[in-house]
Amino acid sequence: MSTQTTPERVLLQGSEACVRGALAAGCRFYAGYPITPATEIMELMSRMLPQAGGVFIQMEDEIAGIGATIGGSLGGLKAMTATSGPGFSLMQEHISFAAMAEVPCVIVNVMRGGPSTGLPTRPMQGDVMQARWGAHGDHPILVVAPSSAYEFFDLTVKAFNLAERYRSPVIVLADEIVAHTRESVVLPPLAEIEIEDRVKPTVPPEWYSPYRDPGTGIPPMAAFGEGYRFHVTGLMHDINGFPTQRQDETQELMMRLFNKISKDFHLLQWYDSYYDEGAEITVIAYGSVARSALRAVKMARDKGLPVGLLKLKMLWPFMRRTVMQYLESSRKVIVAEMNMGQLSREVKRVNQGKCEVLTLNKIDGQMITPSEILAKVEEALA
Amino acid sequence: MKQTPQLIHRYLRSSKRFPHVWCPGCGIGILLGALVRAIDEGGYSKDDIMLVSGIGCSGRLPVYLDFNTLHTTHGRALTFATGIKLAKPHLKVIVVMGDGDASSIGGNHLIHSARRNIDITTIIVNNQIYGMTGGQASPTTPFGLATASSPYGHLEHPFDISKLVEAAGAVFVARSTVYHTKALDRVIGQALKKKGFSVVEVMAPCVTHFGKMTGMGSPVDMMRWQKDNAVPFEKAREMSAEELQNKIVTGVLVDIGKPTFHEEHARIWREVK
Amino acid sequence: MDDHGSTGILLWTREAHGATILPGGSDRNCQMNRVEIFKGWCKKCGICVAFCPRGVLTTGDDGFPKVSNPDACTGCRWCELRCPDFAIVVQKDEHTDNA
Ligand SMILES: Cc1ncc(C[n+]2csc(CCOP(=O)(O)OP(=O)(O)O)c2C)c(N)n1
Ligand code: SF4
Ligand code: SF4
Ligand code: SF4
Ligand SMILES: [Mg+2]
Repeated sequence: MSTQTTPERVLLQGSEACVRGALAAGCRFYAGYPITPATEIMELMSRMLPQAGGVFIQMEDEIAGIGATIGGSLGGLKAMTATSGPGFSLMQEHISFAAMAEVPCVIVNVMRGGPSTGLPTRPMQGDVMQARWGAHGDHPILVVAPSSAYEFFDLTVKAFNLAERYRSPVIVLADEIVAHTRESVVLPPLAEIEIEDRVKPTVPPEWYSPYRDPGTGIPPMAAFGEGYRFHVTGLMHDINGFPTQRQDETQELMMRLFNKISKDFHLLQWYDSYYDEGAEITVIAYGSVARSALRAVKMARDKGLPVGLLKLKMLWPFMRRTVMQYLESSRKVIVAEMNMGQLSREVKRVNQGKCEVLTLNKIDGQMITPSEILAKVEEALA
Repeated sequence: MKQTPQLIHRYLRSSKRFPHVWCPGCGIGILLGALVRAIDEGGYSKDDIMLVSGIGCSGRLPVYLDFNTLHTTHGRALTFATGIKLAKPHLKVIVVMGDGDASSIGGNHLIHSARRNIDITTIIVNNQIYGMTGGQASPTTPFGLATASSPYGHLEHPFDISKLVEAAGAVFVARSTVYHTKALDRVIGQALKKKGFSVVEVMAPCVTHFGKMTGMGSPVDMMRWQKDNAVPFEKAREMSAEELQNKIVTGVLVDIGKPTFHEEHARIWREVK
Repeated sequence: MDDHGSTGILLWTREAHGATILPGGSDRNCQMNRVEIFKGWCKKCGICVAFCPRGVLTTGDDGFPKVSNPDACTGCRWCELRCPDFAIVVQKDEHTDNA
């Protein structure tokens, strides 16, 4: 692991940047199963984690990968796993468990093309809704989406911070282009990277109630094996972690799960905007599409067209506040994504007729090009 | 030997209500006692025991005990336990699973945990049926038995779980019954002491479903059946396949040694530092 | 709770049974080896009665086991070991060994 004290310029593949970010964030546990286009993350982890004193294990499948990841986290380590669509589908039951038992963990899903085995080496963004709704039962989830190697680094660090802060599974939703593109990245000095750790109990073990709300909505989390003997279950539980069906207790637990995140919606508006001054048209994009979009917007501005870009870095919870602002300031928005319209549904949902919402969709495994976006912009302005 | 009810009170969670959830005469309660006695006998600190279960009637066992306890998902207990063991190698990790839990939905994790030789003691509560969901056929249900999901008789052949984990590489494998309680205490104790992946297959009557389906009306009938049909491993070697039909072969089937996963992982740590 | 379609397990939820935190209803005897039954936890499964090697226990009219033949008890503790509910305890008199 690098211990650099000054910014470092390196040529990194997105996957490498992700691994560097995880290690910088304090990740010390990785369990997973190989799958294109996420295999590089696992292979790098197998090399780098032991050097950092962390645990790497290749499991028998993705269900086991995330199961062990949750176990590692319950054992006190910051833990992650990475996969692509087919493996992500297998992980859903355990994402639900992690949400219910409030176990911090990071799940990287490098999206490939198509349903099923689809296009393993090609990009699409078909898992946006699955990332939000794929796991059973009603529960909140946090999903970030990098558009470059640097963001893959940065958002992986932040995903760990979110996981530890909210005691929640956090999904890093990347796509094949972001994971495989090799580009120059300036990594910040380690000391400048903000890192959050889970809050641990300070009370003596006999006073510890593992799910008692301390007022923040997020109970302090002891690790197994450190003298606090407690129970963790995926069943609805009371403040002591014991199963319950009592309505007052189930209601309280469920509301706390939602509120611990929704109280902070204002802190979770993660986006970058470009050229929004006087923009009549705003392109909304995320992941690798945001890069084509930025190029397209620059080309449009060169032609004197009033176009801006809103790049979403957090997909879930959906940034209603931010998106609303752009819906109010723009005449039209264009949501460009490599699926048949997943995030655009959310944009339309919050739009409430304020503005015309256009979509640009592509699902053939090829990236959306700047000229395709530019053409859509010109059509919208015509 | 210490007296069970008194000893057990030192290990039961005082905040849990009793009697426990299992049906009258269910073998899981007897196993609970055996496990506590073996842990007590082994002299482990409560803080160092990590008890993990899957989903099923046996999955309800850990919550009663004052250890580190984790109730996971159906079939996947070993995956969580693997993560915990690697994060906290000092913990004595014990996994309790049902027969369906361990050998159907969790069969893949079972064989790979054995192959990997992760240092975990696994107790498989084999009642030859899906107890919790109401008596459907499991991978250990006898051929031909009518169950809730095989009303015309079960068309499939059962696993021999002990042989399965032996073939997969477990370093310690024993089978016992809850009727043979003292032997059960003993093999659980041995399994706990063993370094590596150890398995105890416990034949434990599901009175409510397996009992009903086999016409064994009462817990007493089912215990008597265990008494009459258990054959020690050594004796079984001299018996024919026909003679062994519907018998329970008991005893220590495997006791070997090989490097454990976390020890090997620790070696890598030393080498790459 | 998970899949509590099973009728058996439902019988014994705390709602159905009421809460007994500590054993109660002990049935004390004054002979050398004392066998106590805690009716609050006993589920009347009959295992202790059926497998007592000395016929010390019988089933009472209320369905609970009963110590009917105390003098025959050897203190072997099989009843205690096989009770699924920790509802029976043998106090072995250490001064006599009639096992
Ligand atoms: C993924 C999943 N599938 C199915 C179930 C339903 N289910 C709960 S317990 C069980 C079977 C339990 O049988 P076994 O593992 O033998 O345990 P027992 O109840 O007999 O102790 C099933 C199918 C579940 N909880 N999760
Ligand atoms: S259903 Fe069967 S296994 Fe489950 S508690 Fe009842 S007797 Fe035991
Ligand atoms: S201790 Fe032995 S002899 Fe005495 S009642 Fe129990 S089983 Fe019978
Ligand atoms: S074995 Fe236990 S639960 Fe069953 S009848 Fe005897 S005392 Fe009661
Ligand atoms: Mg079963």
